[in-house]
Amino acid sequence: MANLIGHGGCHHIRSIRVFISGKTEAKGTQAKVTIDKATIKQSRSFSGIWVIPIIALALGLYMVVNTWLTQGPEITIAFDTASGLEQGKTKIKYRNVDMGLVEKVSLNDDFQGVIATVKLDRQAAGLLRKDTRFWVVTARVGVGNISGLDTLLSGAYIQLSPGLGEAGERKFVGLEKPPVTPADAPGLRLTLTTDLASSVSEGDTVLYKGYKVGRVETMTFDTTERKIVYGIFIDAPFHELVDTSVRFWDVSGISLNADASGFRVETGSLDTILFGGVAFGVPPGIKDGEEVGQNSTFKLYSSYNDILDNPFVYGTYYVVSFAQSIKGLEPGAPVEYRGIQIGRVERVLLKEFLKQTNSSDNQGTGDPIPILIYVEPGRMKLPDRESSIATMRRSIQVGVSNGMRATLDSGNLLTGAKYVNIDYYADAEKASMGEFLEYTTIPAIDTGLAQLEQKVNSILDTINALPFEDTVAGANAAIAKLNQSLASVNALLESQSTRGLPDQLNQTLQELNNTLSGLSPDSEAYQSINSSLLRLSRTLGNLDSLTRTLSEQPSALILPTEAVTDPIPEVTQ
Amino acid sequence: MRVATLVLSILLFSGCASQIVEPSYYLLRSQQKLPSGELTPSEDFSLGNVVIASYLDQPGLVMETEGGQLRPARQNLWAEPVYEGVRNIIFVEIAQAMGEELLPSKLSKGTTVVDIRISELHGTYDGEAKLVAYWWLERDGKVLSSYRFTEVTSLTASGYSALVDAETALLKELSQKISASLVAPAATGPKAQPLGVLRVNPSEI
Repeated sequence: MANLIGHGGCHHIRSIRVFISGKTEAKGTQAKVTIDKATIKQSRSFSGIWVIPIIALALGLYMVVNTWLTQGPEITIAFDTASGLEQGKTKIKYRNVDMGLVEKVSLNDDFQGVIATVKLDRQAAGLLRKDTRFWVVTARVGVGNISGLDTLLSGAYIQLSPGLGEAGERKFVGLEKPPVTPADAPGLRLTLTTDLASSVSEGDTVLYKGYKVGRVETMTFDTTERKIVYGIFIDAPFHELVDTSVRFWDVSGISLNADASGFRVETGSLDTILFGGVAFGVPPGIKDGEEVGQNSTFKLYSSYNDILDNPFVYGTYYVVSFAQSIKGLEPGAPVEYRGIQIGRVERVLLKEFLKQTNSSDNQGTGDPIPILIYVEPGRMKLPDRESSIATMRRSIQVGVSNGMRATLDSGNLLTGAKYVNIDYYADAEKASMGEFLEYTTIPAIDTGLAQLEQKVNSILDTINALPFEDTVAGANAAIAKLNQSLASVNALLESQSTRGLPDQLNQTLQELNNTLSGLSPDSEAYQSINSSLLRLSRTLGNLDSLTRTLSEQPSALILPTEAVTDPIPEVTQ
Repeated sequence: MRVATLVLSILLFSGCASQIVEPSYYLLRSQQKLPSGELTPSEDFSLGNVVIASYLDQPGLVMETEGGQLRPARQNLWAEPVYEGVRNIIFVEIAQAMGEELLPSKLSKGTTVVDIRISELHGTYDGEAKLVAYWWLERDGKVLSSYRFTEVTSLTASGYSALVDAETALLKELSQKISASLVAPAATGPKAQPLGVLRVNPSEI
């Protein structure tokens, strides 16, 4: 029977019946067997026995699909330590809603941290983005706040903070501390850099005109740039106050300044005094800036006065080389254009200069010493933006072709401090801009003051070379001789004969007076002299007449001349 | 030889045979009759330099002929230097006008000094004598006032004697003008000038 069924194939055996019929009696038994032919009939009906397996199969499929459909993503989160993490117990929460469970906690490959494998609910998949952050929430007691006290009873859990970046991330690095600001909080996230660490730290406030508008989120040290990097967040709508014109400065603690006008104390809010903080604003003289994007970088100034001293962000470097003494030129010295400061001296490129000189054939030729200067277009009243650098460079290039030169001038004759001055010199020799390393060079000339200094030094050297000692010795000898001469004169004056001279002189003068008195107009001698002079005058007059006559008539000596008569004055009627 | 000596002698003597004219000498003197007695020198004024033009400083009298030419006379001469005669007349005439004598400035210190310059003093072809003179009053090196005198006068007769008389009259008139200016030198203004006298600036002298 089972075989028939088994060999039924695709044909349904409806029925196989074998009929055995006969009559059974006492006296003589007669049996009659009738065998009916089996009729194979294919069956088309569903057997009910299969319902149960089918249902079980359907349930299994449903469960598989349902499990697959409801299963959340599995992610890994790296932490430094597994503090607070318990396998199978620690939950993942977002807005205090359970989002998953830590399934496994294991060391990473280099044993320098742990990796928590977390099974999340399906609805948490949308929260997993590139900048989604995770941190362990435990009870924390900080300088400025206490948080996570509820975890003392409920146990630590991992907090999820969704990000805004690209979706689909499955590997994350957990934060060791809770972030100050949620990643999706409206506002502006910026980066501040500074060369010197201050008392600003994570969690400190960011102030605008004394009003709290944000906070410092992170503080790290960039080993490449060797700078302190702060991450700050400006809450909306205050983030609209930030553009390229604003400057950030440290307002931590109390600033005490003393100058000629007296003492001045500058402080921020009480928070900043106690815990430090950052302020920002637009310094005077800065034009409107441009809008800034997320994660823009700003410089963190040490104080507001530091901003006033260096209010501009954009600038460029030039090199000026001087073939004269640069004594008195210090880093930070001003670079001026006709008295207006346009930049500062960065440093003397001595190391680069020596390196370049040693590698060339110019050793011992007295090449000029290169000075690196930093010029800011904002100081020339150009907008403080990057495009202004190109504008300023073009102006300087045109200026150099028209006689613009750099000179080294004395800013203070007493201290000898010098500065770099840029101006036009009509009689300067033709020159063009060159290059020194990666910097553009501005041609420089010696100033008249430097030449004057050289001449003064030359004169002083000449004076120093004078034989003063010999001269003084000679003068002493001459004075000694003069003393001897004076002694001789003194002896001569004191002699009897010399003393008698005035008397003799008086006597002589008296006699001279007497002689002259004899020649006075009333004296006979005067009359005689006067008379003689009169006769001499007439004789000369006659002689003059004679010579005139002879010149007119040379024969007058031997020939008779016609007598010249005087014109007679006559009375006219 | 004898003939030559004779000819030369004739020639020499013939040269000496030209006519010799004896010159006449004249003297400039005031016509005032001077009394004898002690002089009364002025305490306020003194006579300084009397300077004559260079063309007058010669022995002969000067005549201006027709055409403006000056001819110094050869036969009509001054008996003394002409400046002495001029100074003499001025001294006498001022003393006559003022009643006191102006001593030479070098003999009287602290007085107002009168310096005189005779620019022109000669006769003209048309029978006139001409005198142009300047004088100025000076005290302690400072010129107080200055004047000019210009005058001509006709000759009363022909000849050099009449010319000398005319020049003497002109010098007398000049002396009177000077005396008038010495009365109050500081107060004399241009409107108070006598006829023929013009107050002038020192720079014009």
